[in-house]
Amino acid sequence: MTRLISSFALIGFFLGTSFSPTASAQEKERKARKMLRAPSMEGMEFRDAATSSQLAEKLRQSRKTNPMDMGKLKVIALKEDPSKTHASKDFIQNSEVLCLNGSATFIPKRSVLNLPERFGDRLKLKKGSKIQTFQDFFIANRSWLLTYEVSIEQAFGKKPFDEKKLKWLKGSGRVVIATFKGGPITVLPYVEDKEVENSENDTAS
Amino acid sequence: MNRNLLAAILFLAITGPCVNTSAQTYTNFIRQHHMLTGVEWDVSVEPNGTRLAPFPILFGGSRFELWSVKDSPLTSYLLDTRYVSTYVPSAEVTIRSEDPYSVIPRTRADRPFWVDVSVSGLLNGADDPLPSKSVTLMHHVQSYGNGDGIGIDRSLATLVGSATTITNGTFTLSYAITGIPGADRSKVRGEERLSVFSIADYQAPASQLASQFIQIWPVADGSLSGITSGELFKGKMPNFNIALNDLYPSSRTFAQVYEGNVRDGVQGVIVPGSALVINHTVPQTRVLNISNWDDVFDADGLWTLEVLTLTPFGIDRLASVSFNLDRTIHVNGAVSSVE
Repeated sequence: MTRLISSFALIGFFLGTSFSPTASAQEKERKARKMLRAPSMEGMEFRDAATSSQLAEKLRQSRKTNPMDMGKLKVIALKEDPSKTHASKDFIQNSEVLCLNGSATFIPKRSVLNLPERFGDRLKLKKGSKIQTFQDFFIANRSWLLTYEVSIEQAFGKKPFDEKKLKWLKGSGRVVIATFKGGPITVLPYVEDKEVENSENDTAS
Repeated sequence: MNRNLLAAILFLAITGPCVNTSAQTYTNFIRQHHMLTGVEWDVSVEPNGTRLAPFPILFGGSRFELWSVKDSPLTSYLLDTRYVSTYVPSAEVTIRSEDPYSVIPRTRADRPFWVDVSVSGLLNGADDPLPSKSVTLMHHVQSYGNGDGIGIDRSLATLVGSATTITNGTFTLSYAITGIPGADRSKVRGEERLSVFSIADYQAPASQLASQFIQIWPVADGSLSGITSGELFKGKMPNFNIALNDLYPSSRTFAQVYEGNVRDGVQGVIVPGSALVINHTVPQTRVLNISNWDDVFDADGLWTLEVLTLTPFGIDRLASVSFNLDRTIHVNGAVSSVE
């Protein structure tokens, strides 16, 4: 019984002292190695995330001066916004489409010189088609497509097409696209009374 | 001016900011639009590079449009447009911010940005045509609402400022903060666009000579749930959640703990499972569930848990909570004898 009491006396030695689960120095070191320190913040601006009211005040202050009010610029009020009144038309809406076998391309409107009736559906876009450049699409569809190099004057409707060439193109039975240096181009209708300037030779490919 | 010479010196920079070079679902076109007649000529282009414009700049000038067409859903994107004519000046607009991201200029709703405008070719002779003597600078803003700006109609942007110049050279405009409309100023998202336009005359309407936009993304916010400020923990640490909204597209975010009250610039210990690296094109939102994080503490006392996000603009504290830790076992007993 005395020994038992002595054991309690040893426990009593620790009365009022603490026992920590991380007390061991080795254990501490092991954990420290496992723990990832945050990256260094030296030299970086540190702040609480900006609030709406802080930014509203900052905006109010910034509006006291107009950045455009400077030596080389004169602030003006525009009557109309040219970016809206003369905006570019949508590319797809403003183009003709050539489409076959899951591939399609876009060309300027009025660049199709000949469209045989049996190929009419190839100017309609089929859903899910992969869009290609005109050059890639043309290479893959030479069997029914033909390009016809026109001059600037012909594109602008200042010079008529050679009748024999036109007849030959229509007789080709293929869809004919007007091109200028390989790129599809609009061809305006020929207007006879316009002055004809220098012309270039017509070539079909 | 020799029109053919002008055509010869015209190079088209076809590296648009949104041209997708990785996916094969985008096809790029340059369309040259003759202003007087409406004649249009197409050239197909690679995702990047330069080439000579084979079609000459004729009387009246041409508008060059760089388009990117996406297969599915079929959509066309106007990436850039420039008007080129015989006597119209040329211009460049560059927008800078603190974010070095190079694809599209971008910054955050609380940060400044700078616009460098360069104009050349302005004339001042008495007989020089009006469009050769000055250009117009315009400033538009447009909110993305709650979206990311994909497929927005830029014709709906609001004109907030305009000015004219008759001087060649480069000048810089400084904007301390975005002016994109929005009630919650920390959460505005959208774009600011600076454009240089020509002066209209009988040949062509006022047309774009150069334009650039900067994307503005909201300030991130975060919250901690599952731990209350001032709480005392005596045993295993509870699980908690970190809700993170609008993390900047280029950011590192983490929760860290350190002893004592909340203080600025303290390098603490990262809470396991709380670190996020965002490398994206638009802001991100995340919710993290944190558990088994007792090992980050090596002593009892007052501790602070805070959520930080590191961005090109510095470090922002999104949330913090301070609590007490007392995991010491106190043995209370008495020694007595039965003898």
